[in-house]
Amino acid sequence: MESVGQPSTTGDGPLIVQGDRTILAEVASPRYPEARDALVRFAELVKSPEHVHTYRITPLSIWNACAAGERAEEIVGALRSLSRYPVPDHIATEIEDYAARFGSLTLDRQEGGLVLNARDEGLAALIAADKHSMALVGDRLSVTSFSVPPVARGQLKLALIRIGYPVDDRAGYAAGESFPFSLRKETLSRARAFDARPYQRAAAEAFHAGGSDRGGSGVVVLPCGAGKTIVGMLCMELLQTSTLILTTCVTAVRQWIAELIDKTDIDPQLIGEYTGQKKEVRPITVATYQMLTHRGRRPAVVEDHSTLPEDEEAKYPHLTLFGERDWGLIVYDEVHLLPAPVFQVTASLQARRRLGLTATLVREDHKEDDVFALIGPKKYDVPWKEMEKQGWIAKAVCTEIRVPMPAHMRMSYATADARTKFRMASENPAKIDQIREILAAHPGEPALVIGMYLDQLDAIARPLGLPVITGATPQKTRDTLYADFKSGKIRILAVSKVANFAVDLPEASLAIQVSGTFGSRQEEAQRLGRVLRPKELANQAYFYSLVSRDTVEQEFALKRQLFLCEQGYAYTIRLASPAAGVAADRAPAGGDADPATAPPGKATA
Amino acid sequence: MRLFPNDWQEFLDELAAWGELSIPARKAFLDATAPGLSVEAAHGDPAMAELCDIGFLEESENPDHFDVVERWVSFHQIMKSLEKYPLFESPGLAALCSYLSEHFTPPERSQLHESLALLPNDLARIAGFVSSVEWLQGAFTRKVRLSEVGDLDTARALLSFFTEQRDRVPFRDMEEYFPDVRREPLCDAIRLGVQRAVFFLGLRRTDLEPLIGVWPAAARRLRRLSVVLAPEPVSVSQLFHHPFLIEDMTSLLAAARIDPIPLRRGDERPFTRFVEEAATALLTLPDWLEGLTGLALEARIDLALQALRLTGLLVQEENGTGASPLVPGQQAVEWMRRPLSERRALVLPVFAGTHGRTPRLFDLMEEEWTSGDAAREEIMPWVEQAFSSVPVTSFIRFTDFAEYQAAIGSPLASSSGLAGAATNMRTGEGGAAGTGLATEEALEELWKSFLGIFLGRCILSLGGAEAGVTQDGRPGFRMTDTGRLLLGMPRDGLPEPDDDDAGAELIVQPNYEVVFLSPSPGAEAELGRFCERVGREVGVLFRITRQSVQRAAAAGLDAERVLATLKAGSKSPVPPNVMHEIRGWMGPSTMEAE
Repeated sequence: MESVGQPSTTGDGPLIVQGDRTILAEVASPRYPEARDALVRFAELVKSPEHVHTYRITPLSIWNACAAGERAEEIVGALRSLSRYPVPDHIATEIEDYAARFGSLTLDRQEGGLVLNARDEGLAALIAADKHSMALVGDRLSVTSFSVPPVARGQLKLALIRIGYPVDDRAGYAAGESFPFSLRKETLSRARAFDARPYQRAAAEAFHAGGSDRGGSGVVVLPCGAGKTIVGMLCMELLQTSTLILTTCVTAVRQWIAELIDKTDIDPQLIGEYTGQKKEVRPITVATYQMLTHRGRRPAVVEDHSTLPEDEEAKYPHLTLFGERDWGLIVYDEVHLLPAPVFQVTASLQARRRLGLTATLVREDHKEDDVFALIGPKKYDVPWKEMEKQGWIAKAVCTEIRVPMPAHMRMSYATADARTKFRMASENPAKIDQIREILAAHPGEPALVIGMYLDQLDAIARPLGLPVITGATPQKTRDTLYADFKSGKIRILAVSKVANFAVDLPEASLAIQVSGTFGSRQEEAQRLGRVLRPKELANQAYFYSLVSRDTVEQEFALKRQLFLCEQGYAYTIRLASPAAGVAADRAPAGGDADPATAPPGKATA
Repeated sequence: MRLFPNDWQEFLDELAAWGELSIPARKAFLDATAPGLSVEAAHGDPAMAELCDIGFLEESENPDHFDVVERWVSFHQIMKSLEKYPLFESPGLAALCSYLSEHFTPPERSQLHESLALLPNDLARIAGFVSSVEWLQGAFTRKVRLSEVGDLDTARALLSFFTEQRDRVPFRDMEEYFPDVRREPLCDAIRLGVQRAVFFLGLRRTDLEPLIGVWPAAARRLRRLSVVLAPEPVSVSQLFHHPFLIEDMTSLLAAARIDPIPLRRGDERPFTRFVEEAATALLTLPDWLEGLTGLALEARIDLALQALRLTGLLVQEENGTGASPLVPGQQAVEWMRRPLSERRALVLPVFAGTHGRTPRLFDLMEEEWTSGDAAREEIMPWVEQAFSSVPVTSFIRFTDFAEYQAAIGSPLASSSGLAGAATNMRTGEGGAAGTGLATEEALEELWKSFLGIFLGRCILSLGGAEAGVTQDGRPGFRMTDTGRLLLGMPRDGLPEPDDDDAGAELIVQPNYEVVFLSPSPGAEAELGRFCERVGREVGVLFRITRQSVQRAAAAGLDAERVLATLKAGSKSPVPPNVMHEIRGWMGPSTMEAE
């Protein structure tokens, strides 16, 4: 009788638990804050459009909860008390089943060797029957235990999680090369008092777990801007060991280094940058994933063969970095973007402490299992209240402006083929007047104009006197422009799509997209979230997307609209003011030069 | 209880004294006016002397005036109130209404039974209820406090005495009738019965003797009945009250507007492919309802086509032969544009009965049932009678209803002429049918299933009943005003259980999903006309897509209608981007208008 849609009571609960393990949460409910804080512990947020958010319960989300000490009864109890209708029986059963699996397998260090202990004979039999895990374990020591060769530690955990059993790894870590340092009481740059926020300390302590084998590997989930770098540094300080920090791009590497210098007493000479430009390996080394997964032509010098799978090593020479020092801690920044080859290496680094930092556990490639097995379970989530207080959840307002095609272009648009149509719609010259209007409506906001076609960007930038950054703009020019933008010397930047992919965009509170897509869906939201950092006081950011009305562009825009709405952004659609259309009719259509062949260095800084 | 004795034992004692009085003395006593006011009487009036002798009255300070002795004041009040409403003398419902209003406080009235809870002042309905056979049968079966368990047994004994032997007796004689029962439990049982409006007190006009008993008419009827009990009120959940036939008609008509519905040459039924396709568009009925009514998707399509042809909303293309396709009739487009309540209002008169005759409602039954005018003529009154016994205010289990109806008589079983017709009808593979000699039991079963099918196809389909699931998981139902209208019965003027979309709790999300926070078949059906279905009952039920909206536009819906539907049901404002796109999708003309 008890299943979704057969309500026996209509409670005031904000949740509807559905049979497919998704949970709908009604935002307007007075009990929503309570529900949200409960869900964050044991469910994943799938999408968050304005009124009703969708969460999902997965084995992983339950195991993460269990790793944090939650019990199945508590999870089911919370769902029952918050649910509007009876929780489907099979969901409760599944939660209990998942939860029971966590801790049913432990990896311990016994008499110097690694031992996999199963809770009961049946589970041990299951392992023995699985050819992937059997290939990785050593001798069967007893009915319920197996010896495990140290090199197989990660691969085994991966194999076992694939058959639905997470391993509670208590086998401990290598201490790594000792590296004493401490955090400054005052930042170097601005001589301001520096003290980590309470939740940052809490996160670091949750990870460290007093130095015991219970801690030492896992992921800290913090929203953008909540100070992931500081959590990383706090963990480093607790461990006092040489550290390898991996992050997404050169700009981020430099930011890490700048932060380390600013907030710790580490000698800058002892901090290495390992990027395309420099290959320094120091006690504290910061590298990009891109560099590690760079397919080099020349064989790299490999010092420690034992730690690397041979094929990976051949393909990605820079992966040897992992073996170049006795790292006591490896920090994986933006762990949701961790590339596959790095997972492979990480599997062989299970004796190192591993800290993952991210804003979301959800990965586009669905490798959440790998993160759990190889980096570790979720260690910390910021309570929503805290985030709210700090303003991290202020969201951008998205506006789609539909700009009519100028009358003189409509006939040629109608007769054009599909590809040309998209380009014509994208380069609708009437958009320029809209940009002017938007910029005028937001005086003083740091703004980015983002476009797909260089000619269009040029046509926009020239009359407005905007500097343009493209993929071909040299890093040096780029750095200068960014610095000027940051300091406020330049207020508006025009950025090409290529540049958008290749570089880390500076923060702005206003973005105007004139053509093209902003990237893949995941990327789009990530970037939007990062680029559109609300200003400290205004706490409001704006995203405008200019779309030619009644054209194919509108179709593409619909996809973005759906996605942004699901991310919780408010989305409105507006028709362009008529004046813009009239003005556009006078302007001639732009050229059709290919962005790939456009000359480099369009920046006018 | 307003005027009834606090102490029934004392009342019995007082009645003993009352029994000693002559009739004129009794009369004189009751003529005494309100307590505290004196009775004027000629000195030496024998009645007065008698009353004074026995101590009911005393001489007042005024000469020729008498007062009720303090000791008898409350007895006096009770007797006067009994005189005022001579229940058993003229047992019309009017007297019963007065009785209920006089002796029961509104909370007491509403506590009589859970289904009356909302209507403490609807005396006529309560009176109708407590004077029914069902009431007697249900009496003392309802929940009681533990302390009342003993009383309950005695009360049951009293009740069976009243229903089986005599429906009322002088109160004074109660102890004589129950020599084995001690006085105290007897009085407790009496109190229980009176409080529950199972036992009533009245005054025999001839000798002014207080009587106690059950409602005589009900008792008489009950004495004739066999062991099968009339359905008891039950409580239900998962209420369903929705004229799904109107929705089904609408979606088929929408399909017919795009493409005429071709019919097979042989049996003039729609092709299987059409049925399969059309079925995907229909709103889902709860499983238990499908089980009750036998209305699977295919059956509903047949029913809807039948109804559309009967109402002239679908007609056969004129030029063709017998199997020419069905096309929308003249009124169709206009009808489709209207909201659900109006669409139903236009259809109801076609099927509603007049003056207790419901021939046209029968047209909605399957053909096997309706062939043969003679059979129909004979069955009709039975159907009407059966359904008119269904309460409006409380739910009854369908099985109880069917059992009861079958037990009190079935037109199929009782009429020899019909027995043959019945076998032609539906017994199908049944053994009895095969031989042409249906057993009485088989015919009873047949009658029960007939009632279920009739309920589904003719009454529930048009919102004429409200259905739900009882605690033991079986379907229950009650009639609505529409149902009474359909059966040609006088309407009660009760509000319909839930007015179309009033109960909807849905949210239109900016990502074009529609989330139902609670089940609402009404809203579900409306939205199904322009949304893609992705779920059922609660949760994400629909997605609004360009295709679905444009399909709706092709079927004659316009943007304002669609937006009005969304706005009406939505708990939070419809997101502006969704409104904008719907306007755009429904046609550029509305967009230009902005």
